[in-house]
Formats: sequence, C-alpha cells, structure tokens
Amino acid sequence: MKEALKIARKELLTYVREERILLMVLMPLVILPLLMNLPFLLLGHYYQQAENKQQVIAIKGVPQELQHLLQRAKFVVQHSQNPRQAVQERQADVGMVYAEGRYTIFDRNSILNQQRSVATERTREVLQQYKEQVLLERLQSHGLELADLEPFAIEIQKTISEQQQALGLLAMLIPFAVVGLVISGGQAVALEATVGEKEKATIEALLSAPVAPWKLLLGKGLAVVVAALFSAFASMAGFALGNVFVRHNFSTQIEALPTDIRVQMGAWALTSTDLATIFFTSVLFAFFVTSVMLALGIFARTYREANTYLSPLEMLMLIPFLLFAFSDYVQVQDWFFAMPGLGVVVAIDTIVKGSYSPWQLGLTWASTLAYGLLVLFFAFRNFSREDVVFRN
Amino acid sequence: MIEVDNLQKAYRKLHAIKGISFVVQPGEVYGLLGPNGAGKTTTLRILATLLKPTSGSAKVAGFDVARESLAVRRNLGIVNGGMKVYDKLTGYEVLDFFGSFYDLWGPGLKERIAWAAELLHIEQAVLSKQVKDMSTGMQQKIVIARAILHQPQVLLLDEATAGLDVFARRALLDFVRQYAELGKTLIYSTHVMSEAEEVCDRVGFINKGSLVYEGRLQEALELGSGNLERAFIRRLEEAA
Repeated sequence: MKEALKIARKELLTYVREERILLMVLMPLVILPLLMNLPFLLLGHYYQQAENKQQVIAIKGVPQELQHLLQRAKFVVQHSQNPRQAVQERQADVGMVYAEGRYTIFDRNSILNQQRSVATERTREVLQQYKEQVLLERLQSHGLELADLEPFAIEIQKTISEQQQALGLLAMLIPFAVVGLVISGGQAVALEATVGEKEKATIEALLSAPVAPWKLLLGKGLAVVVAALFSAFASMAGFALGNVFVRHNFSTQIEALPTDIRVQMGAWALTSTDLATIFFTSVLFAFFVTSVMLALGIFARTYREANTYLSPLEMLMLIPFLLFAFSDYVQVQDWFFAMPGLGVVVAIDTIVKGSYSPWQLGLTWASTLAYGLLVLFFAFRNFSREDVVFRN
Repeated sequence: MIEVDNLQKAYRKLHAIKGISFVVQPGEVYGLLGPNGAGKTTTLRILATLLKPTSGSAKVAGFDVARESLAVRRNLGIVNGGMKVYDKLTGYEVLDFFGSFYDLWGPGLKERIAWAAELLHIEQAVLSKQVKDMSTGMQQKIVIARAILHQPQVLLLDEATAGLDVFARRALLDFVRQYAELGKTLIYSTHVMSEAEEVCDRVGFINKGSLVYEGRLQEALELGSGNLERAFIRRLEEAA
C-alpha cells in the first residue's frame, strides 16, 4: 500500500507543479462563483440605480389625473409630439400615448432583451393603479365594489421542494458542476500519469521498479480521484462561499432585485447529509471516470491519441446533460439511475431537490461501482500487457 | 549472475531474438554489442522483466525473469539512453521516490543517495534542483543514480552514454569499472566499440536476433587484429 501512496504522491506533486494544469483546476473555483453571482449583482445594482433615479416619461394625450399619479411615482413628465421617437433618441426613459381608449407604452430595451425596462414596469404599475381607480369610480356609480368583479381568487403554487426553491439556480447547476468537474479535473492527471509517462520516456524506469501492476494502478488511480474530487468540491465550496459572501456584503443590491430574479439567484441550502451523500456519489463516479481514463490513457501512444479517445467519450457524457435539460417533460424512470453518467446526474439532482429515494440512490451507487470495476479490470489488463505499455 | 538459455522473443511475424544463450559472472562486465535493431534492447528488457520471453529462460541473480519478476527487479537496475525521470521533481525527490520501492527510507535512504551522488559526481546542490532545470548529462546521472540506489546485484546499461558530454561519459565509464569491482554483474550494451573496449571483460556480438560471437575481450580484439570494430564486422560477415 505504501508503494501506491508513494506513486499517488508523486503524481499529485507533478500535478501541482504544472502551472497550466493547476490553473485549470483553480479557475472554476474563482470563475464559477463569479459567473453565478456577478450577473445578479450587476442586475441588482442596475435596479437599485433605476429605482433611485428620477425617470423621464414622454407623454401625449394622457389625462391630467394620470399625469399627477406619474409625478407622485417620481416620474418627470415631459409632453412630446412623438413619445416613441423621444424614447428612441434617449430623451426619455419611457413613452406613453393615449389614443382611442388605448394606452401604448414605449419600452427602451432592445428586442433581444426579454425583460422590460424598470421605467416601463413602473409606468405599467401606475397605469394599473389608474385603471383600478377609474374602474372603482365607475363601479361605485352603480353601487358596486371592485371585489364584486372577482367572485374567487386564483393562486398557482410551485410543487418543487422548499430546498429546491431555496437553492434557485444552484439546484440546476450543482449536478452539472459535480459531474463536469469530476471529468475535467481528473483528466489532466490521468493523462499525465499514463500516456505522459510514455511520451516523456519515464515509464520504463517506473516499470523496472519492484512494484506490482495493481499497486501502480492503485497509486495512479488515487491521484486521479483526489484531483477530480478536489476540482468538483473546490467549485462547490466556491459556489457556497461566493453565495454567502455576496448575500452578506451586497444585501442592498439583492433586495433591489425583483422577487422572481431573487429566487433564481438562490441561496446555499444543502444540509451536511446532502453534502455527504453527494460526496459519496461523486467518489463512486470519480472511480468510474478514473478507470476509464487510465484504461484509455495507458493504451494511447501520445497525448493526441489519448485525446482522440477521450473527446468522443466526453461528448457521450453530454447526453445526460441534454436529457436533464428536458427533465421537466420526462418522467424519470428507475433505470435512469442505473445508466453510466446519467444515473449520477439524476441522483445528484434528486439529492439537491431533497426528493431522492434510497432505492434509486442505491441503484446509482451499485451500478456506478459495477461499471467502475468492469473498466478497472480492462485498465489493469492494459497495465499488465507489454504490447500495450510499450506500444509505439 | 545472469544466465540466459535459448532465449527467444517474437512479435507476431518478427523474431526479435532467435534463441540466444550466455552467462555473465559476478564482478564481470559483459559487452552486448550489435547494430541498431539487432535485439540488444529486447534482450535487456526481457532480463529486466519488462517484456516476457516467447520461449527459453533467463535468470537474474538466481531468479527466473518470467516467474519471479518482482524478485528480479529487486536485484536489478536498468539504464537506457532514452530513459528519463520525472522532470517536475527534484533530483532528491526522484531518488526518494524510487528508493522507497526498495525499502530505503529515512537515514538509510540519505546514506544511499550520498553514496550514489559521490560515485557519479553529482553535487548535493544539484539534487535540490528540478530535473527539468538540469543539464542532459546531469539528468542521465540521476537516471543512473536511480538504477544503482539499491545497490543491485545486476546492472544493465543500454546505450547509457547516449547524449552525454565528454565529462559525463568519462564519469560513467569509470563508474562501470568501479561498480564491477564491487562484485556486481553488469551488461554493457552499445554500438560504440571504443566504449566496449574500455570497460568490458567479455563481449557478445548480436545481429538480427542471434548471438554470432562470444568471447573474452582480448580474444575478440585478436580476431580483429587489435580492433574490436574490425572484429565485429568480420564476425558478422562470416555469419551472414
């Protein structure tokens, strides 16, 4: 065992001294939390600025009463012959025209932006308020109240778990991040430990040492699993710490966000049991992926050849992601949990949503372990075969 | 001691070694000489248990290469010209890494590293450098130090001076004689005849997988009128 640990230590030492590889691992740690939080922060900042700013509205044909309401809502009312043009030329933040019983609002945002501008939203709110006021007056003239028009209320509630709601976008990202980073984080070490030994002509010195092939494989595998898990969980830690940091230090900007966007941003809401379960699932997945990479890596003659084998496999790994994107429309079946790769994504997804069943989770664990052992057998065979090790 | 008996190695249709036999005694340097592709490297790789023989047998330090590979490796060191060690590790880390496979730890390991460094003229300061920052000659010395760290009974050197400058080459040739004087068994494989003349006690000429001549260095020199290269060419022509 000490030989295996020594080999694992050597692989990891080589790994951390490779600046390029280390950068690949550390980048997600910084970049992913930034990508997750920065858009929300910028949006919050933008909303906050927009709320505090006195916005200019260009109007035409708008009654006096509505103009007062707009002024009370902090709008600077500007009469214009062509409100649409005023908005286009950025003389006003929003435009409004009343003609033939219809109010038309001119929004400044481009067609690509599905969101309406803050000024438009506020104008719509004022208009809605005015509409209700007019409606109430008319109803009252007939001895009726607004409530008389609504015999019952309608409410739509999401059935997703509280945990999933609390996690927001994180609930969707975590399964992808774990699976994707286990693959990418382990790959560099696996290739360096296998085909790298061939290309750098170090393999003969290593194989001439009195170490059994299974110990060699174990040592190299350990290093790959450690690197893969470090990569995945460093990014998870990045997500969590980034979220906590942003919520703690930029609460004003977050409060300024509309509720639906704030919900999307989410908060770190995984329990330690969830994390332990995700970790165990990831360990098994890392074992499977490591076996695949070592089996192919030792078979390949060059890095290029190894990448040729691994690239299609990575494409195959995208299939679970694609299926997962349609998860709202697909009824998840038990056999999904036993599929290589897909099972892990689905299992982590159910853990994150707090809706996993022990049977389905057990199915993923058992199948991933079985696939891992099967591929490990091929990796061991490859490590023991001279025509593979000295293939050139 | 090395005992090779009717050793054969075939790769599909290619017969790389066609039944060679020889014995190398402790304290002896055996020159395995031949042109490129003659079968020298294949023979040494079989002795180092990196390749399996197709038929025949070979024993290294009394252990069978096919059945007792780990015991063979414990008693053997191998160096070849193309062999490299991990360039991201320091010289010391490389020796520490390989030393641990031979149960060398702590003070014992330090002692062995100091011994190998002295024998190969490696300065202590160089050992703390990463291998990638060393000269080619120094890198080759680290490769050799790795192979002798456990003071193996048998040392196989295959084109070990390839890429070495004149000083490093001289140090290596001196080391070969010194190591044999410690009672160790060495095979020195090369196609540079002048090197073989300098260090070998006995020589074997190998060509196209067959051993075409074997004898004491002095006898081989007489065969070529005092020139090993001439003897080598003459013997190969006779065998053809």
